[in-house]
Amino acid sequence: MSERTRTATAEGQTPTAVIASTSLPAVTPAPAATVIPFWTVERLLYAVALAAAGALRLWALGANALSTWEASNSWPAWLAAHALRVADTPTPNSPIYYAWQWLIFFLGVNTDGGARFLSAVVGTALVVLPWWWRGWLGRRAALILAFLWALDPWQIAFSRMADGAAVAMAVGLLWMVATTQVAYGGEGRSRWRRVFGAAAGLLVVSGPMGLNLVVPCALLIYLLREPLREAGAFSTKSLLWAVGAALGVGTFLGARLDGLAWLAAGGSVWLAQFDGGDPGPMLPLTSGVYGGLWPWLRAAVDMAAPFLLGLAGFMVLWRRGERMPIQRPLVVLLLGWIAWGVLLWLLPGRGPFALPVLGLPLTILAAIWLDNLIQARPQSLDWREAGAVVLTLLILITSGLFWMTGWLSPRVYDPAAAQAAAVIFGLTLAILVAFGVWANRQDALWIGAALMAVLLMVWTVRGGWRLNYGDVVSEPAGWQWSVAHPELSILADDIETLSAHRTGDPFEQPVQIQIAARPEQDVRVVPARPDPVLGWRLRDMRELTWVTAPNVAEDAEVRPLVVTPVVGNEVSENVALPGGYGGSIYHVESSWLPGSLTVDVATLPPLGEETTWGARLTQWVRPWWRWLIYREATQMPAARDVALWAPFE
Amino acid sequence: MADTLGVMFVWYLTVQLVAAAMLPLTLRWLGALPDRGYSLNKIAGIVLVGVVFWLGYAYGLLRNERGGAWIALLLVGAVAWGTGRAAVAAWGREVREQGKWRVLLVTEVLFAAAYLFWCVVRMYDPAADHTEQPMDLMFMNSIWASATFPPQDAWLAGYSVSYYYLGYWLITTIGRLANLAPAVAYNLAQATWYGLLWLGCLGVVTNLLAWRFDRTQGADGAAVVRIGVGSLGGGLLAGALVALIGNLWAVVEWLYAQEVALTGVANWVKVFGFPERAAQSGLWYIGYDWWWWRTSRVIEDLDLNGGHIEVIDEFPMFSYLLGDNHPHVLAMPVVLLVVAAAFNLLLRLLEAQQAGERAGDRPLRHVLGRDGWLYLPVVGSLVFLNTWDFPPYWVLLVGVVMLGLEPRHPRWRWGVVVAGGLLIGTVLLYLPYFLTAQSQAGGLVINAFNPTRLPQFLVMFGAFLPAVVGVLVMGWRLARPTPATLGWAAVWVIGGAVVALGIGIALADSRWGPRLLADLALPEGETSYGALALGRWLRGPWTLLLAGAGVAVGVACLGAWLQARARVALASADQVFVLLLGVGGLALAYVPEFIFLQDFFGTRMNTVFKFYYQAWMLMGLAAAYFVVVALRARQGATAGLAPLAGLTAGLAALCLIFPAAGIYSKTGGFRADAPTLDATAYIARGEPGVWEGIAWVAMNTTPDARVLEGKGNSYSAAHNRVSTLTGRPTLLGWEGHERQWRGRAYSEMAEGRAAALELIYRTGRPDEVAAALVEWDIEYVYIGPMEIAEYGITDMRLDELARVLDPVFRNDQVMILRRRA
Repeated sequence: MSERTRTATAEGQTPTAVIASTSLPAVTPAPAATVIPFWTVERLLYAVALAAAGALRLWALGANALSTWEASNSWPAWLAAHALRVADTPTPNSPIYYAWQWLIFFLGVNTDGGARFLSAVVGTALVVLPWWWRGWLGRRAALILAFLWALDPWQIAFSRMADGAAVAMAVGLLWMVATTQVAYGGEGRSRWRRVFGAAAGLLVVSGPMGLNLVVPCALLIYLLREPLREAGAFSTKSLLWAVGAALGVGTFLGARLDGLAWLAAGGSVWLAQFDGGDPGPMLPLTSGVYGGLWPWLRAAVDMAAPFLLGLAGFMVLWRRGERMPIQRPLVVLLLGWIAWGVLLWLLPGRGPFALPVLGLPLTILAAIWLDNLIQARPQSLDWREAGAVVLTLLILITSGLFWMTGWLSPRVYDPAAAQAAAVIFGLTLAILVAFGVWANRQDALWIGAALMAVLLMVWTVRGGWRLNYGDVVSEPAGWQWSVAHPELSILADDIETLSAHRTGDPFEQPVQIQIAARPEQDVRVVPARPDPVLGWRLRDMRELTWVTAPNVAEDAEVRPLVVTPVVGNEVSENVALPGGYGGSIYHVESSWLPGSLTVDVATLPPLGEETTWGARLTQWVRPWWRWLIYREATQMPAARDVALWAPFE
Repeated sequence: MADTLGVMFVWYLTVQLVAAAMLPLTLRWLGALPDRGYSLNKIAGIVLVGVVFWLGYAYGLLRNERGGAWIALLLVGAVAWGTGRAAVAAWGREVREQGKWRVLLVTEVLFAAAYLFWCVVRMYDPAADHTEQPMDLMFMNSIWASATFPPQDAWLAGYSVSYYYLGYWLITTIGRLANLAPAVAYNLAQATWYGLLWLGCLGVVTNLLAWRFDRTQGADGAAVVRIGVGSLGGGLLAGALVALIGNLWAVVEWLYAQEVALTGVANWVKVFGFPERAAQSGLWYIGYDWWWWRTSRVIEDLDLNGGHIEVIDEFPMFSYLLGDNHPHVLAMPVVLLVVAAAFNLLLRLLEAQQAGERAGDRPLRHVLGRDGWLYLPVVGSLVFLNTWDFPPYWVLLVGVVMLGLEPRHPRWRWGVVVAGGLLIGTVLLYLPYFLTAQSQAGGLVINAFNPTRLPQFLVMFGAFLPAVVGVLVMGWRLARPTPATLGWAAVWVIGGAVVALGIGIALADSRWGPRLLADLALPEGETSYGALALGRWLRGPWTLLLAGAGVAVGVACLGAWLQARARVALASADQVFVLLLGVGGLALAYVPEFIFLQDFFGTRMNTVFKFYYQAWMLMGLAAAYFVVVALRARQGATAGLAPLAGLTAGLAALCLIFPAAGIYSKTGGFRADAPTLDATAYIARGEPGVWEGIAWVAMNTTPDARVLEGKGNSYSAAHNRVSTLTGRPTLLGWEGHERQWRGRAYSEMAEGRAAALELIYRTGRPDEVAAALVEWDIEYVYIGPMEIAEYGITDMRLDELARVLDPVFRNDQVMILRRRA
């Protein structure tokens, strides 16, 4: 273990300088230098957060096939790395991700996990950023934030996607960290000035998520403009760092200059958020699909703790901001950031890229609230008494949940179950109140708050688990409207097997894929272009061609395998193949959104002696509740199919 | 209707956003103008954002999609606001303290009003279905469908657009920003450009008049220009003269419709088709027929047998009434911006002289320096917008540099340096365009046989000519050229033309004759080209002589400043500049008298068209300035010229009958079942089956997929609908037009295509059809009502085609087949 000599204020004490510069009362002079071991408990805890984040992001990274969205990023990069070209491929949306994916593929990596690796690594590294906000947020709040980010379901989800969003979040937060470090005169200010410039450039070339984060970053810079100006942040040097980083990192030292053009594609996707309009040649999916209720529902199932605790945290921060000038910019920043996030959620083109814009600031606020909760633990609290109360409350809550589940499960409305659940939850509250009266009101409030926080965290961790590891076709839990169907792998395996049988090489047999427009779940028609999901999954086939119609010569020595679109479970009668071909259908993509849970009120039984309002309400609410708890869908997700045609031997 | 209003508003906001992004740059660049260029800012913004987007597209850095357009806008905004915030602050102070809120208010109200006005007109006449409107739409859709450079030519598959297409690019750039597709952008852009045209006129003339009347000395000794109501009124008058009125022929048409006997006038002017095709309707709007068309054909040439040769003499209001989005229409606001920029340059050079700087030593500093780099993309853009417009304004800028320099410096040398610099810079900046463009230009030809008949010339420009005479008188009084100078000017201007004509006539019967005279066939019974030509010129040299005399006087005045080493006074900058405009306008009308550009048509139709269009604008600007100055300043150089101003104003007022009756007539009396701005809605309503087929192609084929259609007929909106409305390339579009754009190279490019169409649609056996589809890389074959009618496609033929093609779309009007192998 190494040791470093530091002053007590050097590490994590940047506010000192700010307090001084903002004319606050002078602080106690720094004590004499002391020897601090490198591996402090705090550092160890950050390491634990980092390890947890890494495990959560890297575990089974390639388990699911790339979705259309991910394949739209990865396939062009893979083609570029192998000096191949396919006309009219979809366009990636992040220059930086494209360039670095290109490098990964160029170095020989060729797996779904490899396509997502950069996101996972950067998404993992992101959790240590609060280290440099210890001065701004407080040491404990920063540490809690690191853990919250490590467990954050949405961050994990983006970090497990082959997309530039995780990179954008990391770079955006890095820019904010650099901004505070430069403004508040932290250690190594000149180094942070360079980071300030470079992160700005990287954010711009990181894709649509990066553009979403430009707004809060710009707000922070505006709030800290004076100290930043004094620190020389707005210099030509910073601009050069920004341009240099954008060009150097965004094109991998100029190796992929074509990637700069994807800046426009990312811009189109970003703009489509505002009006739900055309997202450009980027095939999927960001706009016009996700309903107004969707983000709020996702927040409830995935991010309950950050959202509810974050809102409470804002109250804490507001009060604290009145006392601590250093946190006033933080208050305004988070308020503006939240407002921007809410706006994006309300716009017609809302989509997954809008989620973290609200999630990130609320997670910061949740960390502040949790820090405040720990700080506010009553000295009078006697754990011998409180432990018994907590245990009782937990038992009651658990049994109440069982009753609630019982209420939801039967198809016939059972008022007794609802009444029992209500009585038990009422009793839980009554016991807590009684404890407050008997012991201490502060103790009871604190126990209630802590219990609620724990329950919400459990709910959030569970939600994160379902979102990132438990998304299966019959229980759709993910937030991507459209994901690759497990049968896609079977299709690829079958093609390779057929090829191996007939040519002796699993990748040798020619494959033709027919291009066609795709009606997508009655939402829109995707114009005819090569399908990135198939393109990516079958990328290893050496003679893969894209055709508007199958092109099979009767007398060909090796007749190709042909993949054609299937519309409405019917194989098109227009598939022009010579005799001697047989086909089978595969699901390649499934699409589902919670909106399909909505029960048409007209189909509910009319009110009468046997049908009460409660029964009607239950029937309407039940699908939603069951999905919230079990991720159970009332109908199977819509599947997009293709037919694989193989010549008879 | 709510949708229509919505898109109007979104488009308007987008234009305003572009203007806001550009504002600091404009204020700095045109900072010498009294209004600091505010009135011209929207034009500058649209040009610069569009050019930045195009350059990014051409070099592969920006994709042709919405995000790319916004990045271009943000780049321009970042540079502008990063470097020019001080200029905005200074402008804000002037708005508050120097009363420049008036120009701000008038600019915004004028643009909004003109935009709204023309949107309403287009709502009642939205269809892009006649003359060359489908061509405009094809270019816009081709650009829209081409994600990567160069934009594909939908009417000649396999080749890129070979036309000056920057105007279409600018429209689609705004369309991208506003997320509105070409069908709607077509009409919205027209309304926008109409507003910009008014703003351009306002900008030029208001600044000129403000320099004359509103300039005072500030407390610190610096010039303070408070733009007064009179100057703004002059600007609005310029807009009316350039963008609103028609020529005098509209008055004749109207009087004739009111049953006024005009036989004498008709015989004197001899406008083709009048009065035999005109009606004496008694209606104030004359009628719903295209009577207004004749106002754009008052000039007539005659072939060697005395037969009619069409010559186009459009003017702006006619173009807007017709509803084209042609390059000459789209370039016009930019031309006005260049004119204003030229005045700005003159002021900067003269101010530098007055300040005693040695700026005259380095005029390039003012052209290409910190504030002036914008001259290059803006002036150069004229080559790419409407190539014809570049030479006159290139000359104007060079002339301004020479006039603005201190006399002791080598003006001619600096003139050459600036001219060369602009030319080389333009070529370098727009290199990707030059590398992909072809030209039909076949050199200069002497106009040996068609002197413009003076009555026709007077009908065309009559409203402006009194004012132009007044401007020349004003110039004469200011410059006082010596008789020798006047003599030399006459020798160069008139003598040069006469010599050119003389050479042409003399060589007419030699072996160079056909080359010099546009290859005309000698009529039966005639033995000599020369005698024929001489006879015509001796019967009607008056337009040449009168216009030449006017130009000679103007050149003499300008020459006096250059020759006598006289210094142009800063206080007279506006008058000198207006003289340049007046003489320039007259010269542009004069040049086609003796020379024209050889093109596909072999006549001077296009040269007259393009030059007269610019002449109209320059004379209109000069006339508006002159009317105000002559009526307000009864002393000095314009003393006693008020009658000429009054005559101009009176004639112009008469010409207002053209927009009033013309617009009412073209919109069918503002009657429509469902007013819309969608230029293609008429197809969806009238031929829903065809529309379905086109929509299928747009959705189900890749943007570069070749879709075969029947061979196009120029000016027919019923042909080539798929390529026109989707941008998907087809084998042959409007063949005549393709030939015009590509010149001699076209024959080779199109070789075999017509035969392939015939083979596929009509004559080929299935195996031959299959081979042809492969050879020409055709993926889809479209069979609509036009193909069925023109190629006689029967059910039996369809069965034959179905052996090698798969039907993928079918309804009662359209069948689309996909190549099988």
